[in-house]
Amino acid sequence: MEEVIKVWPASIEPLAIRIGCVLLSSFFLCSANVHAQQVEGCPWLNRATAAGVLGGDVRLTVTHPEKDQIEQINGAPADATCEFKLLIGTPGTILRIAVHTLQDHKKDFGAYLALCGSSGHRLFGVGNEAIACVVQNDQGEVTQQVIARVRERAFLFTWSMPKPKPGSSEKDLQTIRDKVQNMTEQIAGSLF
Amino acid sequence: MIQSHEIRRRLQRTMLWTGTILLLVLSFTPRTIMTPVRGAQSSSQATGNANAYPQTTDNSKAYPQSQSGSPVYAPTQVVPHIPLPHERQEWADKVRDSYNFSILKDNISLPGNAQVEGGDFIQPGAFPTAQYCGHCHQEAYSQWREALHSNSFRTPFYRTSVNIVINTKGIQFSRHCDSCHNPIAVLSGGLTQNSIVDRTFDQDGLTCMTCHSISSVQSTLGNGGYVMGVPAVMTDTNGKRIPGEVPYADILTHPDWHAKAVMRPLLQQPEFCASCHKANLPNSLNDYKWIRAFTAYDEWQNSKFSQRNPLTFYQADFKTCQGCHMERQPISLPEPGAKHGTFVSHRWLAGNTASPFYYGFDEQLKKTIAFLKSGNYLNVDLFGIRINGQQQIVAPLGSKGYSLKPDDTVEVSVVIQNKNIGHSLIPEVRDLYEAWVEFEAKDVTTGKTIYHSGFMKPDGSLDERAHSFTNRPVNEGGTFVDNHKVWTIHSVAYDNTVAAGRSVLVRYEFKVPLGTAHAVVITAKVNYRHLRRSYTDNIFGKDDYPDYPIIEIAARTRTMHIGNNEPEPADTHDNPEWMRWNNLGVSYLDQFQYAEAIDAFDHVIKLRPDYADGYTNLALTNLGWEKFSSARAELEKALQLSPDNARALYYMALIERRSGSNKEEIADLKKVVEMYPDSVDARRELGISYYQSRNSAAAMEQFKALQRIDPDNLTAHYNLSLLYRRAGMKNEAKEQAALFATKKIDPGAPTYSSDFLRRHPEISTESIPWHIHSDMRDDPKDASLPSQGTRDGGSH
Repeated sequence: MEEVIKVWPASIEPLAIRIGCVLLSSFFLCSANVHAQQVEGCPWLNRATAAGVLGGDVRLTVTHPEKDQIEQINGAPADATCEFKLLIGTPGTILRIAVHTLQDHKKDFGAYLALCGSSGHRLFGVGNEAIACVVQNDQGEVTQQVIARVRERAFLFTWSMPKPKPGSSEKDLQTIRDKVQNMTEQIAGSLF
Repeated sequence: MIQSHEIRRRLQRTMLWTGTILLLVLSFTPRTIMTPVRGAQSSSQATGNANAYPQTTDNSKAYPQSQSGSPVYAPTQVVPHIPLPHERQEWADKVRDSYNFSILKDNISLPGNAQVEGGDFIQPGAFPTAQYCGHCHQEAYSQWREALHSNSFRTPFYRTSVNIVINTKGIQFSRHCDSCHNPIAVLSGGLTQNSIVDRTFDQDGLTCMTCHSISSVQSTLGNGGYVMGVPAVMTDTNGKRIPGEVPYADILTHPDWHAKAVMRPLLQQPEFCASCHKANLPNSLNDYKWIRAFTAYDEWQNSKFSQRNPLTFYQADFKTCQGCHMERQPISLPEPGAKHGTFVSHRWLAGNTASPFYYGFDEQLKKTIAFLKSGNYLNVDLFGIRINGQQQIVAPLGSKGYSLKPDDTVEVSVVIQNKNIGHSLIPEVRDLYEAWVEFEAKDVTTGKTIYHSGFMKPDGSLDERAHSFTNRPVNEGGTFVDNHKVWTIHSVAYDNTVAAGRSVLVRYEFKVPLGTAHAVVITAKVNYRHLRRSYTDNIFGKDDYPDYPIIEIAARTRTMHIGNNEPEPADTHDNPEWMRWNNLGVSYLDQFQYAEAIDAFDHVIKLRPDYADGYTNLALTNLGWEKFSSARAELEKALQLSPDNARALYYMALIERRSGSNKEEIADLKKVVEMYPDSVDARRELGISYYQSRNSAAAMEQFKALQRIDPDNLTAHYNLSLLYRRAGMKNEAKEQAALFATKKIDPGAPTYSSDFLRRHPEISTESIPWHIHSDMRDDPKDASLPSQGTRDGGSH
């Protein structure tokens, strides 16, 4: 019987197989997630700014819609969703920016505005138009939400955070509102 | 009047001479000098400055005091790298790891000119925030928050332009714009791919501690030509600056140490403003060549308010940029910096109504509008009329009687004087800002419009045939650069600005309708809109935003009765009669209509025989007309009336040069330079006089002085390159020759303009000085014909 020639010591064999598997699965994972990893940074808000606002290191994921992208003028970045997740500190803190190009903003933007319902109030200095509102779920988690438009592009900004601690002062809330204003100004600014 | 073929002939002759001179320069310039324009720019930028100014880091040397004790601006340079405190060094190393230097290794701001003490990146947190300052300086904070400086980066009007640079050329090129619009972003290393800089400071644009930290100005080159000091709000007992924020209690204990840290004398100097209110497009940005963008500072320097220019038509008290745009106002909030209940305005009121309109800053908007309407900045003069093409003009209107009847053709001469603006009408980015003349003639009885120019079209854009004070930069395809893609600009097809102190003549023509029963009322206004409609369309999308404000800056109305019109009393805002004629003369002079200018200035002399400038104006016209002996006689008369009149001496020197009287020429120019040491024109001409008399050392001294005043001066670059070479200063000669080569106009550039003008006859007509606005001449070519009254009155 012909002897199988081993090119590595027997002790290394399982390790090599494991590494091979990891590489192989990484390849498939990477291929499947190719859209998600196309852009390293978020075109409208950089990671350092998000980290500064959220108060710690963040993980950024950028995803692009499956459907055909509408070409933007002057090389402006294509539609995408950026998600910044706080890595340490308050769990559940996520900041998301979803940018969509509308076919007919006069017709389509109304559906976006409806996401704030009647609680929305106008934000000055953000895009062509913007409204802000606060959404609270059954668990008491709070989402700061801004719906805005720059020309024919809409963006939905959400900042989810855990239930506020009892006794949060008006000053704390104002700080959050100021941060929301600052970030949405930046996003709109980048979309102009 | 000079006929158009004569002007063409003169232009051709000038071009021929210019071409010959350029050829000579090219022939005699070593190849190494003429090579890479990019290299030329880089070599100057490597030292941080195009000019070899002595290095100064000691502030006491940077701000020498004049004899009167007021600080005097002196250009300075920053030492590139010095040992940095640990925290800053760590930050700088971290940023440098991934920073895209792109253009020149170790220069963090190119294609902008911003520099920072220490010569390396600085942490954004080193700048105390506006909120920190606003804790005590509440009035300053509230004004600043609504002002343009705090919104210099975030406005859609700016972001739309800078985003195009970022998305098409790369974020590193935005350092050109952000050296002024967002200095912290530039100097902290935020303008690079995958930046690690937290940009929350963007919202504050030019925050308190950007201006109040600037330690010196490199030169008046602009493009952010400042040197940012390490921000400090306090000094210690020895006057040493303490970086960063300090407890308020410390400031309150030693307010004098606080003042010493933040109130450098430079803040009150016009050169401080020059670092950003002057800009060029360097070849490192446009891959083409150096192009002047705007020069608000130079315009001020040439205006009567600087008292540095002997050649202005009128005189005024000295007034800086800050004098107009930071006037003291009563305070309404606590302000430790206030004196006697007033504080220098931190609103920097000017022409921008767009930003306060967008942000809903009602107070800023209201004050901006009031500012534009105040100050007697412009004078609109319905100067005269010609009826049915008569040779004789009825002028000045109000002083002379005339008769009018239905079916008469009326040509109205409107003189717009840039009376009290310390810069041009309109300044800076006149491809975006819009000022124009709106002229309307109406039947008083029916209210029906007979003729209207400068109206708003239904889509919100301006009547293309309006007389506007805008410009038209074009790209290499001869297309208007509509969205401020400044790096694509190759030429300016048309620039109809009115320089400070000068006047422009605008002509309108209409026919009095047959049924007109009583009178026709004519109105001329100068309107201003910030910004042009097509630009706001680019920003917000067409028809998707409210109309931006249109402000009437100045206006004049007169009623022309059917039948006899008797003289009427002058309005309180009207200029005196001699000045009305004088402004007309200035307008004609700028339109090359020398005979008419002479006639206008003759009226001035008749009304004010003791007015020396009246004779100088006549001489200036005759100089242009090449009637040198007449000019000499008039200047002699001016000097008789005012023996040390610098303006007359200057023009006399030019006549003496022509007659070969070199000694007299130099003596006169020396006198002018003694009286006006910062006069660009006098320094230039004296340099030329010395050069022609082979006094190289004296010529060099003048051109160096000229370069200190105007670092972009082509004559200085050209002559210094020759003089340095003769003196064996090869490197200096090379640098000056290279700067001349990159800054001189591309001889091919006018072809881009021609392409544009061929496609836009309405602008082509506007670009001819003596055009007439009329609905009676539908073919634009007709509108460019001389007026009926002057058609037969040729000067030659």
